[in-house]
Amino acid sequence: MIEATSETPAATPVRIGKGVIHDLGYARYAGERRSPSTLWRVIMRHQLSQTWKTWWRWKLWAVGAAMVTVTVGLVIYLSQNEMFEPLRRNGAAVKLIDGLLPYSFTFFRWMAFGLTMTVGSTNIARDRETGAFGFYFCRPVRARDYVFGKLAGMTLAMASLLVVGPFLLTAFRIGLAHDTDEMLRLLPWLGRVLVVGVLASLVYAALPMAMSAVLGRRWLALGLWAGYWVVATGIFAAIGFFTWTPLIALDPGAALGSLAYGLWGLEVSEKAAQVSVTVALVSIGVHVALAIGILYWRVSREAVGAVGASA
Amino acid sequence: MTAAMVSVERCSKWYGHVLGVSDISWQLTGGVIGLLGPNGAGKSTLMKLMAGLLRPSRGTVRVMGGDPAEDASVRRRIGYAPEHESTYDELTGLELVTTLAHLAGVPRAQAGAAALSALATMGMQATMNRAVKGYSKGMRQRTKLAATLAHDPELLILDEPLTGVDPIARNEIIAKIRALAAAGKTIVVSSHVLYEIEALTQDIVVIHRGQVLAEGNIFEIRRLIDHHPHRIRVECDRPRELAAAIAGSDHVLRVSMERKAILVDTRDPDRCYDELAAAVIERKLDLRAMSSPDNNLGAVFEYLTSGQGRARASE
Amino acid sequence: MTESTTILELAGVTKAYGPVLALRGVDARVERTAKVIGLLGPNGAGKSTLVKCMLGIVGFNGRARVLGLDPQVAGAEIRARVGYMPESDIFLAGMTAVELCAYAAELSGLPKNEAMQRAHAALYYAGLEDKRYQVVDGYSTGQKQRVKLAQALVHDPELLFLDEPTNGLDPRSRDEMLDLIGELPGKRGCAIMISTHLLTDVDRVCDTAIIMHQGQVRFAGTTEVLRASAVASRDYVVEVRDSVTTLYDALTAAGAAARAFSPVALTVTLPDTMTPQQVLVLARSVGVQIRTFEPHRESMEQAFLRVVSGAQFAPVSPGGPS
Repeated sequence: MIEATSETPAATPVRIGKGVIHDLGYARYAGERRSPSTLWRVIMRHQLSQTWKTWWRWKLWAVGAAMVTVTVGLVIYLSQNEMFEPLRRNGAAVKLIDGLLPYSFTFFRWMAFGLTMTVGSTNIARDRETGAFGFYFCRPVRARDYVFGKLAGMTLAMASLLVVGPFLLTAFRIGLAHDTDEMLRLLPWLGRVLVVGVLASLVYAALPMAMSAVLGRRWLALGLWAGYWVVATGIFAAIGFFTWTPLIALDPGAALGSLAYGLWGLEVSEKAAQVSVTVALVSIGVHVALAIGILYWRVSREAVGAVGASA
Repeated sequence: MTAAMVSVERCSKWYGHVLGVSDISWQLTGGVIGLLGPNGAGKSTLMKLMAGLLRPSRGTVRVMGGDPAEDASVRRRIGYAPEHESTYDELTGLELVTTLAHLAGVPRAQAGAAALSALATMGMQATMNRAVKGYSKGMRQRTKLAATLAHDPELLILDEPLTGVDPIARNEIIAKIRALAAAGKTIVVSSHVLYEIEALTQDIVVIHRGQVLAEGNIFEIRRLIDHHPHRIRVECDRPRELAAAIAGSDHVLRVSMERKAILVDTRDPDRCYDELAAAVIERKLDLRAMSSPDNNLGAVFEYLTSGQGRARASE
Repeated sequence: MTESTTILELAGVTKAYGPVLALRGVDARVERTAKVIGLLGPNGAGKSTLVKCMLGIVGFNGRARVLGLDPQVAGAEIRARVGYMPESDIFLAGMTAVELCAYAAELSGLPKNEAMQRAHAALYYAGLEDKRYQVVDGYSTGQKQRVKLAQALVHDPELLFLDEPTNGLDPRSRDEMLDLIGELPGKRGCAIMISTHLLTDVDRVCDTAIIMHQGQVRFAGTTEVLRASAVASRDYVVEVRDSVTTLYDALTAAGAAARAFSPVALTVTLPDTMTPQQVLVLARSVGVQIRTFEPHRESMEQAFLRVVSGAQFAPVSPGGPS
């Protein structure tokens, strides 16, 4: 309320500044829309951000992998010239500094297995259970974008456990070389580590996801994956061990181990399940291709049924 | 004096901190009763209490004289169809209803025949030998109802039996329910879709915040809310003249103009309708339409559950 | 914005799943003037198959254009311009409403920042301003329906497809949802297609209807045309305060054909000699208070049953205006 008081100044006109009310109405989107073939990146980013969310999904295993890296690095540094029992080269003993590195993949693979249990094997099944397929496929997302995005995300997550640690260890090992000649001789190790790490990442990403896609329920998928990886593969390896050696490669884990040792030219001391590098590569290739094929097939089928299911 | 079919006395039920129903007292003698209420008001809880699936935290529930939670013989005379049900999808409709009938107390030898006749009543003869997995929503609802009927209960408790059912099937199911009521069964039906309730029965119970807010005949309850302001719309050829005529009355709160109609907000609908009719007649206005958005079940429900009606409706 | 003048054009669309013909030659044409279209039909009429065909998810025979685009060629583009609100829950676990809507927008092709902004705007529109940072898993039924609506319109679609949008909602929430839906064409410039069994909802918001039965379209046009084909202009619905019998007797005695369909209401066909005003006079003379007096429009339910069964079908529910 305006009150006129005796203090009101004389009527010199006071300039009033401008005032505007903005129209907060709706603006249509006139910009560009991404083409569907770039959507896999969105899905990959989403996969990674979901994996990052809790303490137990990925961070737990990352800490584990870090601990493995540090421990193995310490052991290598402190016991460089000791002999390493479990491995031999052409029958002769091998130094720890040479042998522990390919051997350490086993430990990193435990961490990767942990990640498959918390995320990898329940991923797709969870999407199916919660109805997320309807969410994805009523949009420009195609089955291949979904599969590629999820696979890329999961492989990256695995790579953080299976590639980073070993790579650092290798660099450390090269740094321990006595002279430049030795350093140059050891450089190929970096390549080998990447090969093993990347292939292992693919195996640990694709196989559980394929199982997750085949079985619709989360816990079933988890159980099947755990049962397969821990029990079934062991049985395959045993069968191969007692009958025809290349059959051992039916166990992708054994194949990965053999690949690691094989690339370094080492073999396991005691009579154990080991195959040649070629057989290992074939096995890994077939397993991964099969897994991706199954994954793509199941998701394509679900994509059709997920939308407009009930009208 | 006929004993009440269902008698709920000062009954409360809570789940931990979550309140189901609070101090409800209610009697049901027979016929078809519509159970209405917002989500979370306590309808499903009340239905489960009547069916004997829950024990009251306090108070008593008596169905046909017995306690349904304790007494299996009472439960055998009740048929309960819950809102959500996961079934064994691989079974056929007939197998499913037979199993459920047997579980409800029909001797094994007769369970098959009872299931058959129940499914036939619900019009499922042609499809009862197909696996439930392939059923549409309407067929599932009918199968559920058949399972509720198979053991020939005297009291039927149906929680949202018509959700997701297409209009043709809905009419058929409504007709079946009315036929069952005519045959002497007591049926309690809950629904969110008010016109379905209107098609089934005139007796309703409104549950709100865990208590019985209103009960009885729809039309009686509608009349009781005459105590609250009504909006009446009158479409005629000379609306302003009508507005002038009515604006002078003291019960009129507001008059708004539309192009060909007036909207009158009145505190006393009863007097207002009479005065409007009188004005139309005296001034020889050409009446096109007269209606009130406040004069239907939806408005009654809205009024009751929005808190304004509590004191009045209990008069 | 696509340039076409029609929202939907279907000519001879046929789809078979093995031996079963889900769609047997569907023909329909919906112009851009239509704002809210009801897609109706009994279960098994082919509605869900039609939606899948329209979105380019399954192949079909025949010609179809959605927003001027061919689903078999430009399916992804159609899905980028169409919003879909499904009947079942489609939530990714563990995401908040904002995250979900932003992800939805990004998956429909919007850049990241734009997606985030529009996610908030869509959630404001849907009335979830307060709860948008909370995880969707904990929402009530009504809130989940609103999130589904928000994720359907977040990417600025030209056509929204809603599958049973008022499913599981109590009457007040249903009213609110229908209001939201009814305002969308005006506020967002999009057209809406609603698939539902609740014909009162259709009555309330739709201006166009497509009725399907056994794989074919039995009717495609405005609701005006649908109902005009069965109404006589001298029919009225009268609702009274007390019992209807007194008025019924009086009207019948005066020569009007009346039919009571509830204790308080009847329909009457006025002879040419009787005006509505005279009905009021008559009522007053027998001491009856009239509360409703409206031209009798065929209810959506009657129209639907008529179209589907091809004959006059007496519905079980009251035959008055919905």
